[in-house]
Amino acid sequence: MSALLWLLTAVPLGAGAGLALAGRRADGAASWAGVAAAVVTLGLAVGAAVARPAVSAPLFAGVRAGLRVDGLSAVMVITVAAVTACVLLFSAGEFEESADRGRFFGLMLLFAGAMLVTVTATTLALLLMAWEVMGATSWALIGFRWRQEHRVRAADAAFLTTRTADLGLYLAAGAAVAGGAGSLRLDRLADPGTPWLHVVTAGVVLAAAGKSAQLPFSFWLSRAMQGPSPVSALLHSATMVAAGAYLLLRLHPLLAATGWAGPLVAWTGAATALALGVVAVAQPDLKQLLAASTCAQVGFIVLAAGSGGVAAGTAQLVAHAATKAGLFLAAGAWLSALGTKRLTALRSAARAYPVVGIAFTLGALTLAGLPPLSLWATKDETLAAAHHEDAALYAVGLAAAAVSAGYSVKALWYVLRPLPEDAEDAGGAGDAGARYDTEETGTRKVAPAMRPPLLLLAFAAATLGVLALPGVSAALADTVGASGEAGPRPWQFGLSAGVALGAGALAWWWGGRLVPVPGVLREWAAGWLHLERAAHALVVRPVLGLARAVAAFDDRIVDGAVRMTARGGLAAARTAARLDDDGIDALVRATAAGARRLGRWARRPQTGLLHQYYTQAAVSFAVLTLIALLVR
Amino acid sequence: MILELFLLLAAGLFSIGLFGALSQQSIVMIMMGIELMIGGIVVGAAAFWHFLAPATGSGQVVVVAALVAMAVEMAIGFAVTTAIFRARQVDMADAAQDLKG
Repeated sequence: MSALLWLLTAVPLGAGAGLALAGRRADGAASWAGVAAAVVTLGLAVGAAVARPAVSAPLFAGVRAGLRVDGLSAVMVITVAAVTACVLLFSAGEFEESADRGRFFGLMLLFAGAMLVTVTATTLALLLMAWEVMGATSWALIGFRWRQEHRVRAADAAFLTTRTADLGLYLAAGAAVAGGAGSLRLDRLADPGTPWLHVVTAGVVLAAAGKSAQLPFSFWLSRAMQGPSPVSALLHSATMVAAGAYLLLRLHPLLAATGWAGPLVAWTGAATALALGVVAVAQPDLKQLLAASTCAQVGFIVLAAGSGGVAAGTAQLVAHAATKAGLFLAAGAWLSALGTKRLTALRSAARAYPVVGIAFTLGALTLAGLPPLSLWATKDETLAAAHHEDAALYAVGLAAAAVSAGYSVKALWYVLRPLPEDAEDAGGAGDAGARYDTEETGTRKVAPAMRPPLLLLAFAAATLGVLALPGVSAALADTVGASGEAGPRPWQFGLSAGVALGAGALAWWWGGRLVPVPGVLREWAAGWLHLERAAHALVVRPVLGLARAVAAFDDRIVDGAVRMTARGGLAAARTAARLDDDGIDALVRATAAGARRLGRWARRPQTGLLHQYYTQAAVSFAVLTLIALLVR
Repeated sequence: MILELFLLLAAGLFSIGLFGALSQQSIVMIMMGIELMIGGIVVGAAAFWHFLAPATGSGQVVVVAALVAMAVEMAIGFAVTTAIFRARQVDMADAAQDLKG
């Protein structure tokens, strides 16, 4: 049994690492090898979900690396593996002409494998490792077309944002160790006493909010749109963004153990769902609209996690994964076919490419929360959990649901409606060449490999509503170990259906006209609430300023002290040299000069003239005689 | 014949020799001056021996030693003079300053 679980993580990670390392050499076989690995992983995931294996291996002293498929993990592994398989199959079509498929499929498999480890890990240490691998591969995938500067910058922004929030997990791990939960097992994280429990919880909430692009971290998801469409599809549905929500669902006991964390998380989710929904409405770009809607929909999961609806959150996560993956793949298909993702340019795109159009329509209707599609039902479950907690939360959630119907129908309106007769409305020019190819040169066709995953995901999106049927819902709740949660009452289903239908109808009637709000407000929403600018002003610039100040401190004080020491040493050396030159050396020189002068004097009588020597001898004798005479 | 006369002779010979040695330029003349000085010493020594201690023979030994020194000096001196004249055509002391320091 345990081999199954090892294989489940080893197959995508091994295949991914192999493909990524083989690089260009694997380009030819990469797509089918990648799809095969994903399908095998899906099979293993189903097997693991049925068999529920658990393995464990020593990792550090006192910390084990455990993998276990329990109820929540079983749902997650199937979701992750299924979405990965669909996305990779789609990519095999999208990347037909492109080179560097080895790197792409390798990184995608690594990414999905890291997510699988994340959702099956039983200790925080292993989860953190997979979490980091996921962050790193997401950076590599968003910046996949690294020759374009702005994409690399976007990847950096996304990575740095999630990375900053990830520090919360390190904080949590440290606090858990300090608080006595040294084994770092996820089910024991709530054990530490009062001061440490709060630190652990705060760290986990921070990391989850960052990964799930909740307020105030939402802007990185906008930048992440610079990656290829399949990357967005995977990143926004079952992995990465879902990882944060999964963490909150998994560590729900932690939220319950502290009084403040649950409401905080719930309100964060609700605020994100509403605010980012408004942002989505204001986007002129299909992928940006979908990105903002991801934040909003994940906000519902976070809301559920914060208000104790683990089963509701799981159902919403699964349904949203299927829906959003399909929508992003459809947007990607249009992007590669038409070369644009601007809504005004995509007018009537659904008519030109009917298969994609059907998939997108189903997905968008699901996203709008229209009955009887899946997100309608699962969202009501999350709202029921919120209602159980706080009526105000329920009201905000309901408003967010109305907004979600608005942006979904707005996107749908653009792609379904025929081109207006007067070409002015359609991006300024009537002919296709001017409207299309704003991003890249489109191929004007949808590859055959793209169709099955689109339809499959659209079908799943539409039908996953069964998760909310009473019997299935109870079974799901049993599976994730959260039976006894308050389900939605019939009036809540009716109310949300009415709200969604009303808002959707209003949005359809309103169409492509501008919403009559002040331009500042519209610009604010279109610019993702200027969160990135705020992050720059509040975090990036102070950090850089601090770094500059510290650098100046280092240069002037620390380095300055070193330089001053060196300068002092030089000065001392110079003084010593002067002492040596002018003192000792001069003395030696003076001695030498004196000796030389004496020598010169001594040489002066040596004239070489014999009679002078005689004279000297005679004078000397005379003197000696005189002395002898006088001294005697 | 008294000692003082001989001593006067010896002093005269020595002084003439000294004057010659100091004033002459020619090597031969200088050597002759030296000969005169030694001659003065020989006269002085012989006079001291004859008048003061005629019984002992040691005074004569001093005179003989001085004569030997004279002879050796002459031999070496003239050899050097001849050699330097042959080598450099020099017969003046001022032209041979080889001992200059």
